[in-house]
Amino acid sequence: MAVVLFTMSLISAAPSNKLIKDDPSFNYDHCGQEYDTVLFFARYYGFGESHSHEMAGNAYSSCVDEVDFQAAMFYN
Amino acid sequence: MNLRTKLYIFIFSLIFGSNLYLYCQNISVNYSIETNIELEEIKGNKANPEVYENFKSSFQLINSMEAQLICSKEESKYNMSNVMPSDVKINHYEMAKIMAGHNDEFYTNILKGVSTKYFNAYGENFKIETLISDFEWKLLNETKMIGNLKCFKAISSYKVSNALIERVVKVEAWYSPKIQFSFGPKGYCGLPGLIIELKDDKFTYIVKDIKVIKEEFEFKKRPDGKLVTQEEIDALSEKAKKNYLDRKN
Repeated sequence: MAVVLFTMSLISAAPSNKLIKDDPSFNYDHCGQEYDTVLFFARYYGFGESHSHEMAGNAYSSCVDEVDFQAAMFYN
Repeated sequence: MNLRTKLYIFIFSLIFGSNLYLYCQNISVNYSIETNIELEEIKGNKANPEVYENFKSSFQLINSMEAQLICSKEESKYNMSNVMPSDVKINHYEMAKIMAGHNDEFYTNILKGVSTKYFNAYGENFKIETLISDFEWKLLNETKMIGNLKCFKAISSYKVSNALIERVVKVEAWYSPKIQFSFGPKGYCGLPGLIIELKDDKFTYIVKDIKVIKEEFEFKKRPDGKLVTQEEIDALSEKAKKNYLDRKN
């Protein structure tokens, strides 16, 4: 009996084969790129300068919101 | 009522009845908006394709938008209507609204000779004034029927510039002298009749319906806004970019 209990305790203490996924890093780095990309598109297609920046700003804000949402989903 | 009186009434209604809009106080005009270009992919562009697809989808959504013009003989107010179609991504629609200038309001006063655009940029309210004479319309003899209205063509142009391009945009307006309100979409005005169709480099505005408004409209209620020039607003843009990108740090 003691041998069985000892063996079982060894099995339960063994490391699991299941992969533990690392915490993803949530950052806004790509949002800055998105700002620049949308700014380029808007200028290229002939929108005025301030109008182009407004579009880029909107894209940036949406991107930031999306990152925040993904992070909230992960940690909750 | 004798025959002569009946004849006078008949002639009177024949002359003036067909020009209903000629003598009414105010009218409300709904314009539908259509995009008139395809956003072609930029050759050699290595940007994220998803960003391009989102940009394109937003641009296409402008086709579901409408705008409203309210005008008396002397004044007008123009703004976009707030009708969001179902089953669209909200962030695409928000972008489409910016592309179409959804938050801009235009007030025009023919007697003062000024068209004023009220808008919000970078969290502040501004206004830009344009002299009506600056539209420099060229009236042409070309005509076409839009619905049952005979419309005349007029052309104008304006300069658009940004850090990448600088070009002259041609504007084509079709107006009806039968509807004697000298206004149109986006503050365009000064033609001898209502603008029924207006086309620039990206969008076409077409009259969808016209209604007579019996009650008075208060044109004097206007948004607040600091008076600026287009150049001053453009100069603020780089500052705005810095503010946005600083937010991530």
